Amino acid sequence: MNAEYLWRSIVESVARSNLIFRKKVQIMTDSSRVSIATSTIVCVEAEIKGEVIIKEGCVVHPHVVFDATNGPIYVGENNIFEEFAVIRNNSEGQPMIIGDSNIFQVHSKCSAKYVGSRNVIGVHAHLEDGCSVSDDCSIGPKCRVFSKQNLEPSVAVYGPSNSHRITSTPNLTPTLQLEFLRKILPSYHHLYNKKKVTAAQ
Amino acid sequence: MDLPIVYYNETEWAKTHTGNKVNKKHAIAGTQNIVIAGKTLIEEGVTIRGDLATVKIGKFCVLKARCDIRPCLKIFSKKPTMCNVIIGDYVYIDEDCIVNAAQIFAFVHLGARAVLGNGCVIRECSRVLPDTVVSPDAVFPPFSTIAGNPARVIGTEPMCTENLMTEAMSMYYDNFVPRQGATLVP
Repeated sequence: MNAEYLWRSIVESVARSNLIFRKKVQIMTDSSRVSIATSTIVCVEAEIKGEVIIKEGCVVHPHVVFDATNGPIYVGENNIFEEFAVIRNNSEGQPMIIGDSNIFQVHSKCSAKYVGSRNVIGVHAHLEDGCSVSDDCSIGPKCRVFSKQNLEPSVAVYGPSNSHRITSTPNLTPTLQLEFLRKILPSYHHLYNKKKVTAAQ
Repeated sequence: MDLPIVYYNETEWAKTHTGNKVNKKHAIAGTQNIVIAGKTLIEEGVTIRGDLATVKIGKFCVLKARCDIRPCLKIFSKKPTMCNVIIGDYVYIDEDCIVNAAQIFAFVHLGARAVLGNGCVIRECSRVLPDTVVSPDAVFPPFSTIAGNPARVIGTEPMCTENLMTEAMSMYYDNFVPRQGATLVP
């Protein structure tokens, strides 16, 4: 009888603590509206504002800016965002969708409404408001994709005058690079997810 | 030609015992992998990605504001490696440069907003003009003037570039002095 009572009290207390914990987590995610998958690595120096959802396996270097104050940003799997990349949703309430296995290199700016998969956005490249990029595109350094422009699959934008041409080989997925970064970044940087946990404690 | 004297605010700069002066508003990561020989100036907002691979910078270099030094990625048959970056002595790197190079030799001048692609090599006494985009894995010979997008050799530098750069960079370092109160302000 006594043992049963004790057992029930333990079960109850565990359930209660679980509930409190769950409530805490819910409040945290509600207030920031940022959802980052567990295998994604986001450095703590990255700046994330508004509703941003990042799926599995991405790597976000320090000083990347995700600005979703005007509309949500949905990021797919296995993307790399190098330092000082700016992903900003300038549309009014429309979501920005980024596919899988893209590389956004240093200082690139993206305010496109749609980015497909396996694209490489070069150094200082600029995807202007409301443009869309399909799959396997390469945007060269300092190139621009103009506002409301739609890039077809396998297009390369290059040179000082933003010339276009169709490439014959598809871009490779950066699997090995991702593995390397996932291994090395946590040993030198504080991660975004961990900061939230320590702040809650 | 004499370079002007530049005064800096001592509270915003850190000085190491080898004479390096580093602005405190930097974005340097992985400091244990960064080797700087001495008497190098690192200005505000400079990024050096020492976390990815070792970065070696020679003496009397100047890294102007917001430039970015990051190791290059090489994918060999099995696994990718970030190659070490080696920057020689008396190298001047102007504002907003992105240096993804494998190696920059001594006495090189990089103009503002230049982008050096993944794994390129710039040999001694070269000058990269502003707004140049150097393609990945490019190798440029010594004494070349490099310009364009994509970058090409458009001329040659004078034979005395070594002496000119040595003099200019040491003068830049000597003229970079802390502001002594309000007395020196004209």
